Amino acid sequence: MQGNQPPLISCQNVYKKLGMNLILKNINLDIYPNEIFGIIGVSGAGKTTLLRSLIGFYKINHGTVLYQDKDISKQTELIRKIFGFGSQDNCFYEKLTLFENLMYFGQLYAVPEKERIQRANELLGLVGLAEDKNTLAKNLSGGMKRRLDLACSLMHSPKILILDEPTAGLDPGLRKHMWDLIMKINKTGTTVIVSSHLLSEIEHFCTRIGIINHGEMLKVGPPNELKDLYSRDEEIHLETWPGNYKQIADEIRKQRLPVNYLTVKEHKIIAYTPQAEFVLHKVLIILENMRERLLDVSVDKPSLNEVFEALTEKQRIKGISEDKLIEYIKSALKKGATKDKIEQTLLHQGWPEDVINGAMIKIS
Amino acid sequence: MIDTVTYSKIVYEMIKKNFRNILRSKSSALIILLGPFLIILLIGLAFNTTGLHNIKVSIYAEETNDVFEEIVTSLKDNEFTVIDSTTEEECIDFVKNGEAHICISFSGDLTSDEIERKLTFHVDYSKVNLVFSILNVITHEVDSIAEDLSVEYTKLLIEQMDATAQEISEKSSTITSLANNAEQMQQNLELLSAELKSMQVDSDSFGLSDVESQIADSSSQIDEFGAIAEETTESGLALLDELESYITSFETELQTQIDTIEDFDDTVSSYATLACSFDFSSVDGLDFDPCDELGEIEDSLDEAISQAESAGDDFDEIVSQLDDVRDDLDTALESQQEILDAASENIESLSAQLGESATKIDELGNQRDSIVADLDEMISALDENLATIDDIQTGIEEISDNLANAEITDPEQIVNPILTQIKPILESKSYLDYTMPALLVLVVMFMSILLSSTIVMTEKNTRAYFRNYITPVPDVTFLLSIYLTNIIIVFIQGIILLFIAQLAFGVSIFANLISILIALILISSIFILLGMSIGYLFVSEETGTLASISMASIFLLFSSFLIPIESLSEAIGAIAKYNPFVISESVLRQLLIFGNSIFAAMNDVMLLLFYLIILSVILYMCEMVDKRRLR
Repeated sequence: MQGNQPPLISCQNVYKKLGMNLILKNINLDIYPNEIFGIIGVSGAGKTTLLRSLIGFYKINHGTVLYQDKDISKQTELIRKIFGFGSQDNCFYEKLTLFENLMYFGQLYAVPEKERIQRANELLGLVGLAEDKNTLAKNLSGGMKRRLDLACSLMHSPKILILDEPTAGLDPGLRKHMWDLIMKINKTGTTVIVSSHLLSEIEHFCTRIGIINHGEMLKVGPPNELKDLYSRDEEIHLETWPGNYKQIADEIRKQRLPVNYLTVKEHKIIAYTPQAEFVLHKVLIILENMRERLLDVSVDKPSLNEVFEALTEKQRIKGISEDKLIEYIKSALKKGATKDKIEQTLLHQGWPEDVINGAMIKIS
Repeated sequence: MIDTVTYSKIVYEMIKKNFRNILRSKSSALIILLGPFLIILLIGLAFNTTGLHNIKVSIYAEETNDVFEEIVTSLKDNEFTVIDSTTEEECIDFVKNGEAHICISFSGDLTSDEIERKLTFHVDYSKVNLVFSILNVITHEVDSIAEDLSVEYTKLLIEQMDATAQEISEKSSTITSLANNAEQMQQNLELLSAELKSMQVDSDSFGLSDVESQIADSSSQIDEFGAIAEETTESGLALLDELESYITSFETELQTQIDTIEDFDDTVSSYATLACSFDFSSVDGLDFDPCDELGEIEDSLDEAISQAESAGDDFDEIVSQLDDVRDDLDTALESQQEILDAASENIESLSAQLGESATKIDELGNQRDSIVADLDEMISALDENLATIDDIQTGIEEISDNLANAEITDPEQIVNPILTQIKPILESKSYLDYTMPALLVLVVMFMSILLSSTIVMTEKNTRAYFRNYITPVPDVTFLLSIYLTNIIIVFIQGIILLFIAQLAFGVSIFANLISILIALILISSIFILLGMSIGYLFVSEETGTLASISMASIFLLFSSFLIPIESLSEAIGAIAKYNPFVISESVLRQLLIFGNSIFAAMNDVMLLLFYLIILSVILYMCEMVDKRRLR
């Protein structure tokens, strides 16, 4: 229950096998009315399978899909009427005009002719293609094609619009335009479920997010809630010249600053700390002493990407036995890492503290 | 559920979309619209002819003559281009190089009576359909010349048959005479055999057995006589021996007595001497003198001895005589034995001679039997010969009668005993009429398979394909829409083909239009479903097109379009009969050529309907496979 609203769509214990592979494992998910729900995951995580299962293209092997508390798992026709589906593949006929495409798909959903004409014109206006209604679809640009695809998926006025990687392959300007359009559609009362691997977009536009990996829904929630849940640290990004980051890192560790994790990435040193102001002050002194010139500095909350990486890494490590953990610590020690550093890294990866301590005791 | 009207509108919208997709591709539209016109135009111009033309014939002849010239002239008259060759190899090379369609080699003098004369056609079977057409025309020309020659040869044959009949008639009496002679010989031999059989040629009949028995009796009597004589002689000799023994023992006894007497005599003499030395006179009472007395006794004894010795001598004489008797007896016995032996030998010799004579007589008898058997064989052989001669005679008489009764003596009638006449069962003038059904099926087949597979492939490759499947429209609707799109196009093309064929080339279709159109829809449907199945089964457009062309080509190859399916191997031919192309052609032939209604071809139509059902199922399965691939 979100607020007082019951879920519009509810997936309960959904399993889906394709061939011999179990693609979706025990998916439990509630989608509420009028929200934009983002699904993130790496390629092969199961995003598309989940979305195609929702629209009834795949029949789920186990579990139920409830629509307004009614099981619609086996009512394919109803499912297909409820859902609209847009993808990155531009699913329309290139040799038909925009209007013909919309009329055709409207007819497949048995929309009466008058309504179809009206709806087609409305949608063409909505996606900004009204002037091109008689243009052959093949003559459209990439962004226009994506908008036409969106319009096609809305011809039957679906309650829920599912978009699979809608901005894939578009330039940043077109991506923003596309998201504006999605927001506009959402404002018309259509619930939107969108998948993407561009986490910044999802983080920015979605009301809630589901993180999926290896067919499992790892976590569901609003972006900020997820970020808080998985990291209360702030990130300090420092870019210096000449950039002796190793020495800087050693100095930070030597002074025992409250830094949970320290890493060098893309010619920047990044420190994760719950006391950003204090640490930044100290680090600036260190830089001055080391005669490092500060080129750029920023303090941020960790991105959704960080949360995603932490969650997926945790899931990966969950699959590793304690023996393997011990082996990992031993090999890290051999490479010269300190116990503190290893512990910090493991904690950051989501390993429980008691498990790490147990492994450390066994090694010592 | 979607109601029928809405469903029809959906299908209509799909068909409309398909047509838009096709027609908005310039090349597709061009093929669909101009294709049938071009096809029928080309086919009409190509096939609207009555025979072969511009056929080049290379010829080679060892020596030319009237017949050769006649054949060459005949070929030229029939618009053949004749190319002369100096050697047979050159003639064949013309065919190999494509400068000539056929090489005709004349060897030997075609008009002479030489055995070695032949006409060889060197053909290129890689142009199998052309070869038989050319051969048909050329052999027709050559056959007429060969027929003239046949008539001439037949005349000669009939003349020789007449001469033979006459000769047979003449020689018939000789055979009769031969039969009579043989019959006479048989009778003579039978008589000879009977006479020989009646002759008694054996030892019994000559009484040799009795002689043998008598000789045996004589021999035994002689042996018996010899035995008796020997026994008697031996008895006499035994008696003589006994007598001699008695005499000898008596003589011995006598000698003993003589010796005793002599001893006594000596004694007496000694006594007498002694007594005489004494004077017994003084002995009183002795009234005799002992000396005297003893002298007297001695004298008596001497006398007795002398008598005894004399008796002994007599006995010796007797013994001597007995010995003589024995000798005589032995001599007599020996001579008797010799005589008996000689007699016995003579008898044995006689007996042996008799045995030999008997053997020879028996051999003679066997030889006679053998001769009689030979004679009997000769008689039976003669019997057979007579029968054979009878048969020959009868045969010759029959041959003679047959030759005499031969009704057909006209050489032309013999050469052509049956007048053959080929009449077409329909009043057509050009190849187009005959080939129209096959051509129509060919066009429909290629159009249907290629168009339907292409439409399916295009549909599959469009990104809208996925969106179609997430609409509430049943999957089969998409199949139906593609099928209907294809059938409309192919049907229209078929109609265009038929109308142009009717209007431009005079092929009759209006008389049987309904049946033809039904058949056209049925045939198109089969190939469309097949093409659609290929379209769904193959992933890439290239392989799909290749498979479509290959499939259509297979149907074409295993039909009678290129070579008759009857000329294929038995197994392949049996399968090829069920080739949809062959069945479709059969249906259209009945409708187009013979003007039958579709009911007349019901068996073939039923088979096509069966294919339609099977292919519908296959199409649905292919679509399911493709949909799985999409997932």
